[in-house]
Amino acid sequence: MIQNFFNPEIIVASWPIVLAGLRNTVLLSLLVVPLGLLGGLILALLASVKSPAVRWPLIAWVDFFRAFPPLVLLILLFVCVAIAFFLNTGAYYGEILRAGIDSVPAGQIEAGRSTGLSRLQAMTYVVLPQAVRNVLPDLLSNTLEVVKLTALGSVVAVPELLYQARQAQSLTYNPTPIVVAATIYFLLLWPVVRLLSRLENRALAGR
Amino acid sequence: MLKYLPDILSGVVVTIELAVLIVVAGIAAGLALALLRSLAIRPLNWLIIGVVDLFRSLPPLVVIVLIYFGLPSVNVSPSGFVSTWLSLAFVLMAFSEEIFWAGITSVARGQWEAARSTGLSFGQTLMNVVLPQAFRLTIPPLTNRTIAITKGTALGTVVAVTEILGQASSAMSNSYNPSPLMLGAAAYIVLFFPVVVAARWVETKFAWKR
Repeated sequence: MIQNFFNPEIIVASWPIVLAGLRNTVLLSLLVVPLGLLGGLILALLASVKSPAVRWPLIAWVDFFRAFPPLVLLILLFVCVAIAFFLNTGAYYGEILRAGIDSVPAGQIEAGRSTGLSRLQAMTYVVLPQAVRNVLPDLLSNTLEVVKLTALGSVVAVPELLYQARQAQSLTYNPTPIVVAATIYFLLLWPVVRLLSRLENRALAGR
Repeated sequence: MLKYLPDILSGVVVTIELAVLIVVAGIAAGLALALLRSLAIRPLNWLIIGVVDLFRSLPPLVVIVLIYFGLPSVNVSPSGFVSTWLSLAFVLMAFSEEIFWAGITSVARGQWEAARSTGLSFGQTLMNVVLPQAFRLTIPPLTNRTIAITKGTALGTVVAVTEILGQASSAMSNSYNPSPLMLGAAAYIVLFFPVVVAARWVETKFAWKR
């Protein structure tokens, strides 16, 4: 058991390979999360425009990327891993932020407008801060999903954590590197999961 | 392109089988864990929380790879189908446990006390008073999560499951042409778009009127 899954020699030997993967996983996440957030914010802001000409294509767009497995997108776009992730996560972030914006009462924007703020100012200074606070657990949970999503990059040979671990596994004929990678993922994301559980339970219990 | 339609369709069948198995096993196990957790046995709860956190923080693909490539070295060799099923069922179990548990805790303590004081047993209180209220709250997050995880069946390709994406990729390499992949993508849309729409309907149907 230990020889197969926690082989110390293999852990030491595969460590640099796995570590290089970890660096790429972190880089990819740092690229995709801000991009997705920005895209989502734009989608959500567009959704708050009441004109049906803007609304319907938008709903179709969001539903399309929610219904679409990201892996299919990935292989379709192949070279543009980041774009595939961005399209997918942007739709999710957009949906979340839209829910957040909807949760802020209309009176807030009216009050903001009547004190002389422009539409954009009212949105940025009055609505968005409250909206983000209302949907913080969902935003965090989506971010967690995005980091986990980067593991899909291994399918199209992006040398991230899982891909590197599988390389090391085939070099050593031993699944230890995958166990190492799994452990790294767990250590990396466990704090986020704990935080989320607390936020979610508090949000539900508060109703 | 049409030549590969039967392949894609057989892939659709495998995807549906896989998805149904995952949803049934994952949600049943998640509900069971949430109910066990409501018994409030300390060491058991720590164990449940540990398992749930583990599967919430591991990417599903890592779990699949671990089961498929890892277990054979202890002489258990699950097929790709079984590995994908088990992995995604575990992941769905973790998420649905968390969602059901949040639903159960959201039912006010007074409800429990009132039900118990009218003479209902613990089981009856849970079944007839707490769960019906909890379920309403759990439906929107649960449908979302279930859709997200069943889309993960596409990950089965990595371990050679002949589901839609697997069939489409191999048709693509046989025909040196990406049109089967387009066909596969269309199959996913046809399969999941109604599910997304149905989920929206269920969510509005069961939402609390505020």
